Amino acid sequence: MKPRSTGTANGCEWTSGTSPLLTIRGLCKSYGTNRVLDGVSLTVRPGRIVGLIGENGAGKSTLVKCILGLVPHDGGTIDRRATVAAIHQELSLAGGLSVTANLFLGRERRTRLGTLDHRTMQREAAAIFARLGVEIDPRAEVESLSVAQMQWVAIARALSAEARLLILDEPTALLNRDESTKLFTVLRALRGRGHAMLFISHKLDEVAALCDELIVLRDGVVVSSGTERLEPEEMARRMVGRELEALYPPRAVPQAGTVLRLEGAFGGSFELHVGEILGVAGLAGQGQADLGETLAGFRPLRSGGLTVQGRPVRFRSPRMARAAGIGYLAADRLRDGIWRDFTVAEHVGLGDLPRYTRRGHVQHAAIRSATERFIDTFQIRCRGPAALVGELSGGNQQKVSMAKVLGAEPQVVVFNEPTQGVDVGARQEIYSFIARLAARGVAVLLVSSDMQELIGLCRRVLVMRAGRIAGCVEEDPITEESLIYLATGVHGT
Amino acid sequence: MKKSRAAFIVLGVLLLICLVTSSTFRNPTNLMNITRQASYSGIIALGMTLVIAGGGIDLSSGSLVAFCGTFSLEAMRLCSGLSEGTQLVVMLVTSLLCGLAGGAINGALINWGRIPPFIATLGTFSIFRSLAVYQADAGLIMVDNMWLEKICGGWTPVVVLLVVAGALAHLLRNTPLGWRICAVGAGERTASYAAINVRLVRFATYAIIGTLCGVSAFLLAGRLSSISSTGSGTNYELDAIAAVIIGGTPMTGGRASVWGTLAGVFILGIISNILDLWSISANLQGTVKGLVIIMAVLFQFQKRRG
Repeated sequence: MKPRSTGTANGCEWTSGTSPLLTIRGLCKSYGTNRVLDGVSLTVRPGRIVGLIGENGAGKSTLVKCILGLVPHDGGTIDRRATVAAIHQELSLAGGLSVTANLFLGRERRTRLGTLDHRTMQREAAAIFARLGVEIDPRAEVESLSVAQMQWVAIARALSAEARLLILDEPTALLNRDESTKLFTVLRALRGRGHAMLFISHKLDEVAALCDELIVLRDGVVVSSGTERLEPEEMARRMVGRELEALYPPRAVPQAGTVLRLEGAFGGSFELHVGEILGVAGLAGQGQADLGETLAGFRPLRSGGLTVQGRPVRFRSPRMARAAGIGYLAADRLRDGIWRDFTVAEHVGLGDLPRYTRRGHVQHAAIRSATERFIDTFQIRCRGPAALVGELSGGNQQKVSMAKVLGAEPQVVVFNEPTQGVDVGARQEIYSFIARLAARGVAVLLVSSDMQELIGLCRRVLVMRAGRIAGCVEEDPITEESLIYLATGVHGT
Repeated sequence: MKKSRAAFIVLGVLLLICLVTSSTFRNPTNLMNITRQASYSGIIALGMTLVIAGGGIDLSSGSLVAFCGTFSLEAMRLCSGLSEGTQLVVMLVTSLLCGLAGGAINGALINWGRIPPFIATLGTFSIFRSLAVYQADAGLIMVDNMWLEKICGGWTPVVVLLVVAGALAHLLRNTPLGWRICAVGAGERTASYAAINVRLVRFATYAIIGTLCGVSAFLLAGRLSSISSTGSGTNYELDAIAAVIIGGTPMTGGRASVWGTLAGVFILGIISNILDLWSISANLQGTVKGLVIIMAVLFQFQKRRG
C-alpha cells in the first residue's frame, strides 16, 4: 500500500444523478483489543455536505483512513463510486516544490517528448485557482505561502485530480474568520456543482451553518445521523453522550492589585490584575502570539517597559520569565508542549526541576507524588505517573502540558490557543481549570482565535491588529461585533 | 531500559559461547586484553551516549584522541627537565584540557554557530587529525616515563571505563542536567518552551565527550608510551556510535542507556577477539561487526512494533 495522505483513492469513474458516491455498511475496525469502529454505516450523495463530529478518540480519523484505504478494515463494506481526496489538518504538501508541481504531483502532464509540460500545467493550475476565486501564483514555492493559501492548494489539488468526494478534516483550525467564510463560499459552490463533502470539525457552529446532514460518532458507533437541524449545544450533548454543564464557568472577577504592566510596547499599554483573565483577540497572525511570547521571555521586548509585581524586568530568556513567575503554554501542543516518548512524571519533573532537586540530585519520589497529585487535580486520564504522554488523547496531553507549566506555580500564565484541536468535553475541563486558576489569584493572559471562548471567559479583551494593540473591549457582555470591529479596523482606516 | 535488555542478552549469550568453545578465551590475560582493548573507544562511546541522547552526533572523537595525545606528549617532552611525576601531571592535564577545548569548539560551532552536528564535527574531524599530523610531522611521538606506563597498564583502562559508566548513568538518571539532555533530544522546541537552556545543555554533552577523549588519549598514550598522529584513535568515533546503537539508544535522541552502551562496547570487543581466536581472517571482522550493528537495529525495531 502506498502511503497517501493528501492522496486520492481511485474509485469508478463518473457517476451521475443522486446515487451515492460513498456507501459504508457495518464498518468495523480494531487496533489490538481496542475496537475503534463498531458497525458504522453511512451514505454520502453528490451535492451534499455531510458533517462528521465526535469527541477526540470517537473514531473519526480511523473512519477517514478506512475510506481512503490507508488502513484495512476488519468487517463491513466500503463502496466508493468516486475519486476521494482528503484535505487534512496538517496539510501534506511538498514544501520545496512550486504550487503547480504540488497540484500535479504523481499526475504530471507530459509533452510528446516525455518531458514535463510546464506550460500546460501552469495554465491548468491558474484555471483552477480562477475557478476557486483565489489569487495564488502557480509558480510560487509552497513554503512561501500562508496556511490559508496552502489550504487552497490542497483543495485545488483535489479538484485537479477530479475528486468528487472531498474529506475535509478540521479545515478551518488554522484559518481566521474571513478565510473561513471564503472557504465556505467555495465549498457551497462545489456542492452546487455536484461535489460531495465529508466535513469534520470541532467548531460546531460552523458545522451547523454549513452541513446538510450530520453524523455523530461516539466510541466508534454512529449515535445520530440525518438531516435534522441541530443546535450546537444539542450536537455537543450527543457527542459527549451526557448532559454537558454550561461550557463556560462563571467569569473570573479580577481583584485589586496589578501583577503585570506593559507600557509603550506593541503600540499600547495594558495592566494585568490579580485573578484576571485578560483575552487577546485578533485576526490570524496579527501579533497575538508575539505578545504572549514576549511576556514569557521568548522574544526580546523591542520598546517600552515591562513591570512584574511592581518591579521593572527585562527578560533575555524564558528562564528569566519563569523565575519572575510567568508561565507559558505553547499553542502547538505536539511540537512545543509535550515530549511524546516521555512519561507523565517526567513532564511534571521537567516542568520545575529545581523544585525537585536536592543537593544536585533529582528526587524521584517527590516527582512521583507530585505527579499523582497533578493527575488528580487535572483529572488526567492515564494509567499513572509512568504512562507515556504520546499514548494519551489530545485533551489529556493538553492537561499534562498544563501540569508541566503550572507545577512551577507561576503568578501569571500565558495561554496560547489552549483548546486548539481539543474536543468539547476536555474543553470544558480546561475552561473550568483556567477559571479556578484565576480564582486562586493567578493572572491569566488568554490568547485565542476562538472569539466565543474569549467572550465566555474574559471581562476584558485586548484586540490586536498589524502587530499593535488596537484597543481593549471592556463592555458587558462583550460582543463579537465589537471585537471584529477593532480587529478589522473598518472604521478607522 | 527495555531496549538495552536486548544488548545484555546478546552479551550474555556471546560470552557463554566464547567461554565454552575457546579455552584461550577463558584465559584471564585474554579477558583483560579484550576489556582493555575495548576501553579506549568504550570511554568515548559512553560520552557519545550523552551526545546522541541530546539529539547530536560527534564524528570528531577519534581525531580528537590523536590531537590530545600528540599535544599532551609534546607538552610532556617540553618539561623533560622536571621529575617524572610532574611530567605525568602535565601530560594528564594537557590531555584533558585539549579534549575539553576540542569538545567546546564542537559545542560552540553547533549551538552558537548553528551548524548541524554532523557537519560541524565532520569539519573538526578533519581539523583535529590534521593538526596532530602536522605537529608530529605525520609520525609517532614517543616518551619514556615509567609512571605513565605503570598507571595506565593493567586493569586501569577497564576500571576507568566502569567508573565513567557509573558516573554517566547516574548523571542521566539522577541529575537535572541528565534529565535536560534527554528532554532536549526528545523535543528541542518543547524543551525551550519549558525554559530549558537548550544550547547550554547540548554544549555540556560535547564538553563531556571532549574531556573523555582526553581521558582516552591519556590511557592510550600510557599503554603504548607513544601516540601515532596518523593512526591513534582512527575509527574510534564509529566504534563508539556502533556501541551506542547496539546498546539500544535511539539515534533520534531523547532516550539513553549508558549500561546498554557498555554492553555494546563489550560485544564489539569480544567479537573481534573471538574471530581472532577462531582464526577467521582479520579482514572479515568489519563484515561481522557490520552485521551485528544491523541486526541490533532490526531486532530493536521489531521489538518496538511487536
